[in-house]
Amino acid sequence: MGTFYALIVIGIISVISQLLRLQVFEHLQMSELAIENRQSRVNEPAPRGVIYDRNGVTLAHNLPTFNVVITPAELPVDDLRLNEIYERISFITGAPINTPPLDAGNTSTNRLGENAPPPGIAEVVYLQQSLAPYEQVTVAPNVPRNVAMALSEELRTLPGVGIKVSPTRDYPTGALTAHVVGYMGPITREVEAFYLEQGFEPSRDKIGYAGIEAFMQNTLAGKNGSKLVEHDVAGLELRSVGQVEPAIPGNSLVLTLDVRLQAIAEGALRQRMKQENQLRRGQPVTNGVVIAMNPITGEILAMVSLPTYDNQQFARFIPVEYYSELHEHPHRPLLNQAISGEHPPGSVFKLVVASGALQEEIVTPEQRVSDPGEIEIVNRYFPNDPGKKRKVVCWKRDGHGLVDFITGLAHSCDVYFYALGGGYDEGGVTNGGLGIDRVHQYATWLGYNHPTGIELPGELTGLIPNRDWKRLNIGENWSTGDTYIASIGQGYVLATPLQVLNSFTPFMNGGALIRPTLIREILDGEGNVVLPFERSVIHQTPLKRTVLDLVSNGMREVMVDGTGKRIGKIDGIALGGKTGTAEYCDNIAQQADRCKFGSWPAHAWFVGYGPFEDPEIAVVAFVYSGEEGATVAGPIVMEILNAYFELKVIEQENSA
Amino acid sequence: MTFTRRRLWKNLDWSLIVAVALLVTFGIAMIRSSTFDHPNLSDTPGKQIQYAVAGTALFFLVSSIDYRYWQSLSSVLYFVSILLLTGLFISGVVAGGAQRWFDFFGLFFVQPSELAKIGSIIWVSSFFAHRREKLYQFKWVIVSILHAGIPAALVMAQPNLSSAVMIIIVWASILWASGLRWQHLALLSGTGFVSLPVLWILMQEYQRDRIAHFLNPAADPGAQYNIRQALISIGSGGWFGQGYNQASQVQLRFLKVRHTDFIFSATAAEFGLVGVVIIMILLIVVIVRILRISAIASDPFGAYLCYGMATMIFAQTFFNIGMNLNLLPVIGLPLPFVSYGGSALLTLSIGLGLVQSVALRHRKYEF
Repeated sequence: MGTFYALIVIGIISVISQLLRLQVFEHLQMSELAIENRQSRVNEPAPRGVIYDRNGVTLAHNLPTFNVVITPAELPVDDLRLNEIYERISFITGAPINTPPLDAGNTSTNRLGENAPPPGIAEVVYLQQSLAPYEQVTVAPNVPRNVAMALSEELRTLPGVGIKVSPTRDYPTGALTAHVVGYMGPITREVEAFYLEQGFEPSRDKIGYAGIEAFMQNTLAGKNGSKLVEHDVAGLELRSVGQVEPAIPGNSLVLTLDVRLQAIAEGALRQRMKQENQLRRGQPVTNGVVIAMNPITGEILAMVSLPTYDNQQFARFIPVEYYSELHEHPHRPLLNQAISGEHPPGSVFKLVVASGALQEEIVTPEQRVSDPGEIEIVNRYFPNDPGKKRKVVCWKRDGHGLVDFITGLAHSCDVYFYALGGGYDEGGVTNGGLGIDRVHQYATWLGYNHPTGIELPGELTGLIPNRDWKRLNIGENWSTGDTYIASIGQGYVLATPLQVLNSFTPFMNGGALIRPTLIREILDGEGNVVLPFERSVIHQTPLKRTVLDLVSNGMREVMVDGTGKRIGKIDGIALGGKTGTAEYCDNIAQQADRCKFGSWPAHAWFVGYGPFEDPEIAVVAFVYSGEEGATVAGPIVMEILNAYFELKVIEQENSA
Repeated sequence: MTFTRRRLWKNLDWSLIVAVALLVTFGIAMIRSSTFDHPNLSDTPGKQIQYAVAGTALFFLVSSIDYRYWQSLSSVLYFVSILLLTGLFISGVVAGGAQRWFDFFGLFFVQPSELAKIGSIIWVSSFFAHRREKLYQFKWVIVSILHAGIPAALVMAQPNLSSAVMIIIVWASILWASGLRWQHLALLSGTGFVSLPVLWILMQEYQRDRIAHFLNPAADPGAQYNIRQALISIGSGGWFGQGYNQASQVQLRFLKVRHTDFIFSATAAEFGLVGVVIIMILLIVVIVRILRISAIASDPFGAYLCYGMATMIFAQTFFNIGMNLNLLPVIGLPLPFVSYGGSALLTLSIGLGLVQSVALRHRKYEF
């Protein structure tokens, strides 16, 4: 008997001590574990903002995709009945019941990193059954609308089966606006932590990868909501606990883009490039850019970069084959050349030297400089060594004769600008010219050497060289010849098409360098304007009124009796412009053995604007290896200017 | 006759009956809370009430029968049990991987191993009551091992480890109570220690797993889910619990087999430390009262019967609570009187009936 009681006492002591440990000392800890068991945070997706053009045409929006889902807990228990349901889904949607073997199926439709064919319905359900039987699992993703409709009519006889609609990004204008709008992609592991902190759900949410989608990610994305829910052991949601944080929809964007003009610009550029490639052999025209903007407000009306890609193909997921084809293409269709292509600007850069020379009074506007067609540069370290002399030429080999400011600009006389930039004693510019330091300074004032700050990722800065740059990067001292070449926008000078276009804006804005923009308005979820359009100026240049007027008059003369004379006219509207033909030597030209004197390939540039007195639109066209600014780039710009003013007339008639 | 009968029932141990009644009632309440709104289990409280009613009837029936009849029938009982257990291998219904049930014409299931538990108390008590005087000879100890070992081995082969362990514990306790010599004890425990590896080999795979998991819980976290949930349930109860029908671990079904093996954890979650201590006090009252009846029994057989019964209840209680608290391996024993289960409740009712029968017929000088 005594032994028995002793055992009872030992039992009581061991049980009570364990109970005290669990229920008294570890009570809080255990209670927390119990809460962890039953509560989980549910992330509610915020709808992404829509992107419109300036007239309300949709460029990016969210379309419903239809997914067939199954809630395993609601399926019938009977195996026979279960198989009937699987067979019916499989028959309607084409999804396999059992996972096909690994080598079956076409891998080209698989997502990144998923080279296996999709798993079968039965396997997916079986897995979910053991994981979270009350949670829906997708058995047939992304079925066509009519298939979803057909299945939804039968849902009554298919217990446990449902159709879940989830939003997918859709780009109705596709390739036409791909470089501006961009596309989206999954949140990768490298940035997962950052987005998790901001409330994103990496397995579900996507982020902008390119274009406006990437640059305006924060505005478009909105804020995911979250709520704490209590669920049972099988995952069945019972109720939400505490504060529910509702999802805040992303803001919508009205772009400054006009898709009509965009389509015309794209058509004109594409047509011209095709023509050029048919006409000649040798150096092919591989890419081109057209940008149209309102030079007063900075609004970009059209931005085309060819070749381009179809962002609509990236809408649901990024297809591996299409993406790598684009990525490996030598003409780099994924690159927006308007902001990420750096090229020698050629004669369109003469505005820098022209305005600088007038402002600094290197020449008077009336002063005539003689252009014999070619001049020799004396090496300033060896003035008496004829062997060190260098010959530079004007594009017009027999020379322009005596050239004043307006003629120099209108005819784009190279020698005139050599003289202004680097001095030319025999021509009458004996003060040594503007010099590279001031060329650099004026170029910077006109927006070169800095990104414009447009709302697109990947904008490059271009390059305006100076003494330090050359010493550091080439390892040589700066020479007068370098100043000459830089003065006509060649040599080391590089600029993006957008920088070139923007450098014209001070002459239409009373000296203000405008900030180009793609965003017209930001709208909230209900369509109210959150952020109205506001003109933004990068900086005020110090250019005097007289300088601005003289340069403008020069650009008018280009169109009247200069290099742009033959490009065309618009009745009743005076135009201004500047041609550019920039010789270049890059790796492609080198391979073709074109980097020799007299046979260098050239890019075609043209900037045109109008009406001259009160400019509304300025357009740049850049054609890689286009050879001749006036004949190749000029007509493209002309087509857009024409279309712009025609559209304006139609709009005025419509509103009247 | 009327007089004798009235005198007979006067010796009924009321505190034992009240304690058991409280435990069963409380058990039914906890079964209801544990299975509340469950699609397949919502009829378990009702069933348990039926078992309780049937158990009460059985209890009074067995109490009214003089326990000494069973002593004279013990050999018959022994052989019938052996037959039934052997028969299981031929026509038993397989449930949960083990042949533990007899289907009687589809009317009811009988679990012979449960009956074997009660049977073992009777025949072991009878065995020792007869041979009390000869136990100084070691051969009788060996005979008793064989006597209890054959049915225990049959039960274990079903495989039903817990019932087999119970039979062995009952045998050991009555052997101890009938005056085991020190030398024999030393010999027995030495042999037992040596034969442990043999036992390990004889065990079924899942039984070995359970013990392995108990000794090394980190080895298979998945298999430890139940016990972890039990500990969370107990711990989250605190001093006074989360309230009846309120504990999240129970109501949201994170705690598994909460109406049977883990009803102690469910109780701890809903009624806290105070609640489980009350349950434990009631169980101790039951055990102590049975031990008291054992002490006043009029013959050794009655005393052994009660002692065996007290041992069985104590062992089941301790194993069950120890399992809930992760002090002992999960061997699947219900908490006596509280856990859901018809066979177990009916077995206990029969056992208590035997105990009361001893109490009613003890030699008491009452005039």
